[in-house]
Amino acid sequence: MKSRRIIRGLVLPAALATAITGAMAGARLAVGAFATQDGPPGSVAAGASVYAATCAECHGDRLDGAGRFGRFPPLVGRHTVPDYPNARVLYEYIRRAMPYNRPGSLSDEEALSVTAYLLNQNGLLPDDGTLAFEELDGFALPGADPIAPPLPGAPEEPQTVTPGSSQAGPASGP
Amino acid sequence: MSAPGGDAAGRRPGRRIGRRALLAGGIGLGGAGLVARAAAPVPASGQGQPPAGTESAPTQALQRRVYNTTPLLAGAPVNELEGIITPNRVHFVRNHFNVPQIDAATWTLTVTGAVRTPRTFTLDELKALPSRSLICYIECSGNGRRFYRPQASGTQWGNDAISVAEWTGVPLRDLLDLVGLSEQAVDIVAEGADAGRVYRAIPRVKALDPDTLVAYLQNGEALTRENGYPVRLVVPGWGGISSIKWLVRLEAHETPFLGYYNHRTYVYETPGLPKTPVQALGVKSFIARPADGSTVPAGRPLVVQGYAWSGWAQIRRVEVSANGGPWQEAQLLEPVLRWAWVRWRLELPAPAAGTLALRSRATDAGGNVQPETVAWNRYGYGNNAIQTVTVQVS
Repeated sequence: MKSRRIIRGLVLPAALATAITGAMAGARLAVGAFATQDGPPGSVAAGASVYAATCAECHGDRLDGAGRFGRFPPLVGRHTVPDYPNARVLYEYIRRAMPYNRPGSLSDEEALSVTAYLLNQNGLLPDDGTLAFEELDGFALPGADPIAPPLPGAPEEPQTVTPGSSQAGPASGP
Repeated sequence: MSAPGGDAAGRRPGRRIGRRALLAGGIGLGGAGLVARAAAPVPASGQGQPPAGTESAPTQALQRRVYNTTPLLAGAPVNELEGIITPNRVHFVRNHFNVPQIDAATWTLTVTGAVRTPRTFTLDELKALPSRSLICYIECSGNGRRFYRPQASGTQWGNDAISVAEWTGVPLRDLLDLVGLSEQAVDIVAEGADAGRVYRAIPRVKALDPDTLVAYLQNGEALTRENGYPVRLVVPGWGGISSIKWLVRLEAHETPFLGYYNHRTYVYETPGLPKTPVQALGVKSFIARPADGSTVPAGRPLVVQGYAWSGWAQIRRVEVSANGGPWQEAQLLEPVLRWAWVRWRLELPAPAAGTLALRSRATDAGGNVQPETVAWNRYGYGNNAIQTVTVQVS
């Protein structure tokens, strides 16, 4: 607790934060504790610091995909995070596949916090919001809509699923 | 499927000719054409030479088209292929993450979840089980994306995101039987060992299909690293995303699994229409030769040939139309196998000089006919619409 308070008192540039996270990587708990400097696991605030230390490098400080290495997927806007069916699918993807250069290196709590932060940045969770593991399944996102929404770049004329097309095939599962 | 005329090209049974001899000018080989070819510049990759220590004649250098290197996205030379099988080194690749470097000696496959006895298999244990071989294509869900208008999001594959191999492995259902799959299981989630642990749920009915394989041989040798070494799933007829590479985990679920590769991507999203998952890809054909944009001689019969396949049923018929004329039935070339693509051929009377538009249309045993058009979808999946190849006759 004491060390957490000390860290919170410092204003850490992202680069330094990354260095510290890296130095502490051997101690799993310590990394988690560091990540929660600004709030409990699952909070938007904790997610913001995980994002700054781990994700911003590629996805950009403004989550627009303009990071240090050129274009990466943006994480704000209708066709990004909101297109997931629910928070569980988003969380699972982050936990397994991100960050791209070190997939699987985030703790469950860090992945949960980043999920909360991304939801917040897309207007789906308030600034002081917190996401719990138990809430992931029930946290529906716009992508859960069974009907595909309008899309920029789509044909103007209405489409029909033609007989014989792959899309017309019988679905035998999800 | 061996190249016709191989013996005529100078093959001498019982005599081994190394690569060095060939490079030196075809010493010991008959046939001026072969000597000339051997003296021609050799591609840096070494392709176009016979495999070391064998005597087959050099074949045309087959190259993949590389769309991206990290992760690797590479198209097969489908317009140059002549047989059913795609050689391993030019099998198409669509990876989501970098190729994992797996040591087969320490690789294991864990089968767990809603099963009576979870179990972990080593490669030797897997290979000790009864195996099955299947000549089967794997087609990327985005094959044909290039033909969508307006352009759909993703790699602009032409027809090159499909390849055919003889896959050997253990039917997935046998593994599930061994561990005692729950009667209530609805989904089997397969997970790969690539960095992103690419994972997708296979519905029970497809997982229990005897043709769904846990494969460890590709055309009689180990899988290539980029295609899943040491073990991948082969889910016949379904979009390639289901055929998880570098397979390390199978997990049975009693409630439908909600996941990124089932519900966020690999879903048909046509604005205003219900979203549906990509599963079996429909009946399809294309003209491999003559190639689109090529010139063909006037005054000579024109041989049109290509491939056809269907994720729904065996190919029954392929037809060709020239310049909007009537559909003419092409010959299906043996063997016609359920899960291999089918070679077909039609000889047209000498076409008149000018522009010639050729189209091909496949029909499967389920009565499914390749459609004129398909609905546009966001990521350009499942495009099996009839294609047009335009050539100049002169």
